[in-house]
Amino acid sequence: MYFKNIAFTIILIIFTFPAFAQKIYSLNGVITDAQTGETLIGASVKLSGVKQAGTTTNAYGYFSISLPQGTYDLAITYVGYKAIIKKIDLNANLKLDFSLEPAAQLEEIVVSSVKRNDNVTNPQMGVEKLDVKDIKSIPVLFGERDILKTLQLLPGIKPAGDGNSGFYVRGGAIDQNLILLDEAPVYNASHLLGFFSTFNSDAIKDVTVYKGGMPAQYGGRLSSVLDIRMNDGNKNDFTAEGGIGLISSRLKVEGPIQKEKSSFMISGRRTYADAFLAFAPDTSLRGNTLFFYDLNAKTNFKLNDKNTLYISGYFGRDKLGLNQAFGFDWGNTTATLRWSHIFSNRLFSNTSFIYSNYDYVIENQLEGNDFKVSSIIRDFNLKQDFQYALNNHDIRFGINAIHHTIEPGRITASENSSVNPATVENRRGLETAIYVSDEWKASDKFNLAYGLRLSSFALLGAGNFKEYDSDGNEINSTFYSAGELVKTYFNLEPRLSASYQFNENKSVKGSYTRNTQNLHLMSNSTATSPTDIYILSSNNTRPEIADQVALGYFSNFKDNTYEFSAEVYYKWMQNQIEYRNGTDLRGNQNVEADLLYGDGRAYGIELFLKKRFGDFNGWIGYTLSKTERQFDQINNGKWFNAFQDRTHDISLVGIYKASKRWTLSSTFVYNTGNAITVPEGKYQLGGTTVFYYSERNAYRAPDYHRLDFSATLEGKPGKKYQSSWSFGIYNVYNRKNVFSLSYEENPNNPAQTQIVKTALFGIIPSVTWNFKF
Amino acid sequence: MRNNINILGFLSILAFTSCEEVIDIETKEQEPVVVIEASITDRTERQTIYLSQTVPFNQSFQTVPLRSATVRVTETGGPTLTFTEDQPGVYRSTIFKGGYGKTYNLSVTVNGKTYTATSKMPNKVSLDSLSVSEVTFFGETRKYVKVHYQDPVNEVNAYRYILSINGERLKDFFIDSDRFNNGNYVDNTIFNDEPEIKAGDEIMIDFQNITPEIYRYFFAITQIEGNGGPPVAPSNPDTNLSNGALGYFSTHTSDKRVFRVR
Repeated sequence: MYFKNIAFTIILIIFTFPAFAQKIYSLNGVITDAQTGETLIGASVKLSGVKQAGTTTNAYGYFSISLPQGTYDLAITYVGYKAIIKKIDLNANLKLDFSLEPAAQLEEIVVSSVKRNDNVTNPQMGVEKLDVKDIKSIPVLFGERDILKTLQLLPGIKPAGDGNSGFYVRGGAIDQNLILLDEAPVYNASHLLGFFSTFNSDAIKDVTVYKGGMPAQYGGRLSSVLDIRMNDGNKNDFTAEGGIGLISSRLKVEGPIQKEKSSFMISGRRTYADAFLAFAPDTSLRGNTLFFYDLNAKTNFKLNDKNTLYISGYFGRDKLGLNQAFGFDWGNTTATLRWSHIFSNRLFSNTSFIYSNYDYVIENQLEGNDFKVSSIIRDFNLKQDFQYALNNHDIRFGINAIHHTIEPGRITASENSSVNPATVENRRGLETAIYVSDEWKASDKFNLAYGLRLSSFALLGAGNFKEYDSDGNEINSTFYSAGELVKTYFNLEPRLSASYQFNENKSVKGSYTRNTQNLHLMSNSTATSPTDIYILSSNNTRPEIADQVALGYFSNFKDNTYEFSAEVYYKWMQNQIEYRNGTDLRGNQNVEADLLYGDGRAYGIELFLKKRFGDFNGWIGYTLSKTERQFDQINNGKWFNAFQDRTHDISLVGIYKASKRWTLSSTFVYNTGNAITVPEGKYQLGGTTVFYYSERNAYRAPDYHRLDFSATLEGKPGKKYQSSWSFGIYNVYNRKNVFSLSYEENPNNPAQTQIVKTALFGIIPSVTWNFKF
Repeated sequence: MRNNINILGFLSILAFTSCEEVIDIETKEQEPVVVIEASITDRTERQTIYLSQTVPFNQSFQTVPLRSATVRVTETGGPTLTFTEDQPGVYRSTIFKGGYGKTYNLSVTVNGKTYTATSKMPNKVSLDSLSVSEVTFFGETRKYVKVHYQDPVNEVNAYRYILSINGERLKDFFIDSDRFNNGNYVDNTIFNDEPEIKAGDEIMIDFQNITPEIYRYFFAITQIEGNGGPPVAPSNPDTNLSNGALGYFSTHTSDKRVFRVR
């Protein structure tokens, strides 16, 4: 058993640390932005002398590195900042904090002699980091900067639909992405029925996405981890920035509470599409509402050199109302309380208490039939994470416990209504995990990141828990009282990735990852939908399991100006879920009776070429892939294409700094149409045409392609107050891309049937005014 | 509960550039499949069963009747009804009234293959009255038919409304279940698409109490058409017919009413 071998290796490493004879000292500290005091995530720390070593700062800007006694050249670098290069004598444990000055021009960094080739040396693969600066200059729908839509321009990450913020990673489903905002899971990351993401990019500091090879501290979803960190708030000065756009306006305020010790950041956004409705010539439109708002807030207190406290939160809400007939609102709430503590110069600890909530309410106000449906998923989450640096090892271990409460549906109605009040039983579950991982620089050429995560899931009472046979018939029902264990699952998840460097600019990497998932989305839509409900693993629904192997070649050239990578992957998925025909999810107590379980597989190759510096930068991504499913009861048990199977996927991104004030950018995307099921025959029932289908998803929707432009004009520099204009054109050549397809009778000739496509977004111009002072 | 219509309306506000277009996808031709539309009702009349077969999607529609079939319905512990071909593909029995709580067994033999199904006649639920109500969506006020009836509390009930306007049968499948209003006095609005109901129209309704099985059959069809439910890739609805036949065998009550819109 390879699990045992890995566990043994980890134990061996942990217990052999004290055995080094040479005097080893550690250097640790925090790296911050000199202007805002904001900690920098992923800044590079390199030492060369008796030995060569390097590390990067963690999510809290903290780094720790251990080396033999001696004199070293220290280089601290971070994209967009001036490097710090100095000599240090390491003859005792040292704590050194650094502040980096932002560079006015990106080119200055290239001039520094420091090589930035982390993408080549780091054993981690399948990882992409988004530069928040890139997000600001890449064109998107309605000029609304959007992290999730910018992510979809990377290879292996594909949008759920035109203009949709939902995404598929390497052939997985939408619910198989773990989306974390300051460690808190966000259950429905979209606004306005999927067209905007819940993440206001003003409030975001860092975005990292793992498509495979997830480090052991992450778990709970099959496909990807999207780790989003909010800004901490400017520790030195008060600043305000914001923007007025076509769809929404934004405002962010940040500043110190106590200089250099504590700060706050608060950022809000609201759309006003409905404000225009008030001026609608059609008076009946005026009674409708349609808007969303969200609020991000964060504050931090540096208690002393060793202790920092962070409190952050998100609150967002969408509201949709139709005169006096219909109302619908939904939103996420998250809160994170985090305590970072430095035990010693080698041991860094992070304790977090996290709350997540997603809920929706649908209201029907039709007289005599009024009702209200509400649904909630709520988590309490405790995380304890340790990072221990020793010599060539970067060790991480910890525990995580999440308690889930799901209220799938509660129906209430007035006394005059013909609708009966009803409640689908609540479900509770406890997900726990312990993990340990080590990033080991085994030699100058060989790096290894390996870890093990033991995850468990316990389904808890109270309630009636049923079991169903393969036809969905109930075979037994047992009542469990509150807190009683209904079902427990344990899963061992090995994580392994390794890199071998041929030279400074070329490496190969390989990885193997197992992920499991105990929270399963029951969606009412192919895209992200506000009425999403979740179910937990149970007697009927087993944990979803994915095993992924990946192999990659990484190369930088022209002094690290260009990055190239090629990754191939193969993923096996077990216990995937589909619905039986005629499943009704609304207020359904026995939804599991309607589920089918099967397998999935996904494989592909992703090519990526990026130019990182210069007046012109950007990237080209190409993915060739396949993703399929197999269910005994579907398609006669034969493998069929998943809906999101898109053979070819190309994205081009170009950003050009035309002058000191003008930045131009453009994106082009192309992908093969979704795999769809098209009727091959038809028949009539009582005079109505009904379609006959044979194979599932055997046809293709038309190809998708789109070109977008955007231009940003910065205000004259040097003033206290800065402003900029952003102009954008979405879908420049007005391509009518498919939003949905329907099969209909020809209205002019009912004997003839036809396929009708609906295209949602044609050419859409946008303009946004941004300010900062 | 047809909320998705409203949501699409909102989307069209947002996407002022949306449009529809007919496209062409080349489809494969499949072997024809037997289609059986069979019912036994509680009306004293000649019960009727329709047999046909599928035609290719791209073809101009022509119903292809299945002729010379042997069609029988046997009441469990009761008589056997023999159906004779009245018109091509239309098979009728002698005058017969289905009994409440009785189980009926269908057997159709055509082109050397036999298809069977079993269904139990539910109890009668009568339509109390009909009315017309006005509903406004996006500035458009339209008239819709409303049905009023008392749902029985002690049983699971499902309903189908077949609506005809001025003698023209509507093509929508209107179905309902008592899942959210069991035992209540129900006032349900039937949101039909085309044509719009106007004053002076003659409305006919066939109010049927159907089995839960047939409810699910029609729910699956409406779901494929995008009227709610999760995003299953379209497929043929599960049927009570054996041997791969399409269609259904329904035993239902029938309450027909006619009224004129004022």
